[in-house]
Amino acid sequence: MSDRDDSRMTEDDALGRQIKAKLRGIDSFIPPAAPFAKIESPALRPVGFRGKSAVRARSNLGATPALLAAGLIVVVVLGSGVWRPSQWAGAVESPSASQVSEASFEATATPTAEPTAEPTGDATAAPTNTPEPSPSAVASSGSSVATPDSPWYADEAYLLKLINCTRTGGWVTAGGACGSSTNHTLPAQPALVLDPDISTKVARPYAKQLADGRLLDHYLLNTTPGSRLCAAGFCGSFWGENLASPGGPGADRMVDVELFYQNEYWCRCEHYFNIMNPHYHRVGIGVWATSGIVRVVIDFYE
Amino acid sequence: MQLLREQGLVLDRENEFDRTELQAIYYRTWPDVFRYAWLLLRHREDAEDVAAEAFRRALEACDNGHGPKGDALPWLFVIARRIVIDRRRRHRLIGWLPLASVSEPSDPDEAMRRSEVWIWFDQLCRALPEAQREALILRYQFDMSDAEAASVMGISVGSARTRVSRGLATLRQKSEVMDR
Repeated sequence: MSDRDDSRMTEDDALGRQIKAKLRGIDSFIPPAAPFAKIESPALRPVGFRGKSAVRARSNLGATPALLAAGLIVVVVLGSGVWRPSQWAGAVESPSASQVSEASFEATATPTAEPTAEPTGDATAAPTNTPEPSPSAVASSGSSVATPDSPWYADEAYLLKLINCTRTGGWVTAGGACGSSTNHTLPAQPALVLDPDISTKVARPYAKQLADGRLLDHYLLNTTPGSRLCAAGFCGSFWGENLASPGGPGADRMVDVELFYQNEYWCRCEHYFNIMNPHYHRVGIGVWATSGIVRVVIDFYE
Repeated sequence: MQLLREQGLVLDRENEFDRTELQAIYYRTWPDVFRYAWLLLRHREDAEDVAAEAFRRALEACDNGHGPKGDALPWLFVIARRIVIDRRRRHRLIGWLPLASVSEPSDPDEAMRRSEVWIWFDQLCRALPEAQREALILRYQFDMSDAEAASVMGISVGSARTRVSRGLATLRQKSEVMDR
């Protein structure tokens, strides 16, 4: 209040008081705050889904403690992808929440073009969809961030394989295999293609930034995933980002990350939603570890 | 705002963060954050989502040592505002999609549409550009100072002051809005 212009105070305040009094009318419609505990379980809150979402989140808690215990934290996803499951109308409008866990992928995905048999051989097939960065590119640069030969490149490539297993209709198992017995609630999509430019210019530098700063945030330094992609020349309308903070680098931890995302099938929460989003065709993946702090950044792009 | 200060419900970055502190702030400021999101979005369910998401991010930020440097409420508003802007961008993008939710009637919203205050707010929205409206709401609905309102809107104090005075001037010209 101290910085007001005192000369107009009375007149302005009278009008202001009127505004305030009128706006008070909406107060009776303001719902009571939900229990604080709901706010405290971040990764499990399905932000994009309304109504019963909180209840669903609670009911799913039992499914993830093993991952949480493994030190995996996954942050909310962000995306501009304009895709909703309702686009499939009856095709995949899946059963109610309680039935989702029993629903087989075969049953829900029948109307789609992707045969569910495809992913079974995925353990070897998925990587062929990704343009491997050439060894020369790997060796050419001395910069630690702007090159595909990051120390964790193997983890990135492996995570892509896992993501594509899920995306193409398979189901990543706890052992990291790509199984065919699935819980999908969204139809299979063609595999994502790794874009080395998105990895090296967007995902990996951001993963390093997050790891260096021990942060986990989509909006560092007033940027958004969209703005970071655009700064690297990817200015399209469809993008999304999944972040994760696994307990360490290595294949097993990448499986943890993918299982966590995949486990959101029941609510089609936003990590799973991003992975299955048909508007995305390319992806950049960055894994970075700074003194034991590991960050994973997955930038989906049209 | 003053109330928060008096009751010590203000986070200080120098202090070690205590979840119970944010919990207290959560219960106290929930109506404010919700009301702010609601007035920006004019959609009840979206506002609920935004408010919940804002507090979740606030908690995360505090856990990571990035809590507010001063008062909690403007800081929470900044977070909520960012989420609102992000959602709007998305909504613009999905505007062409045949979404069932668009035509889906919702009882509380329906009640709001019929209510007097919402009709008045509609008039206010038509009478004032969004920037001025937000400045007035922050200033008078939430009793924020120019500096606090400016920090929420991400503009200079002078610009915030200008928006408030222009908004008031417009309202004086269009007296039918306030006389309603």
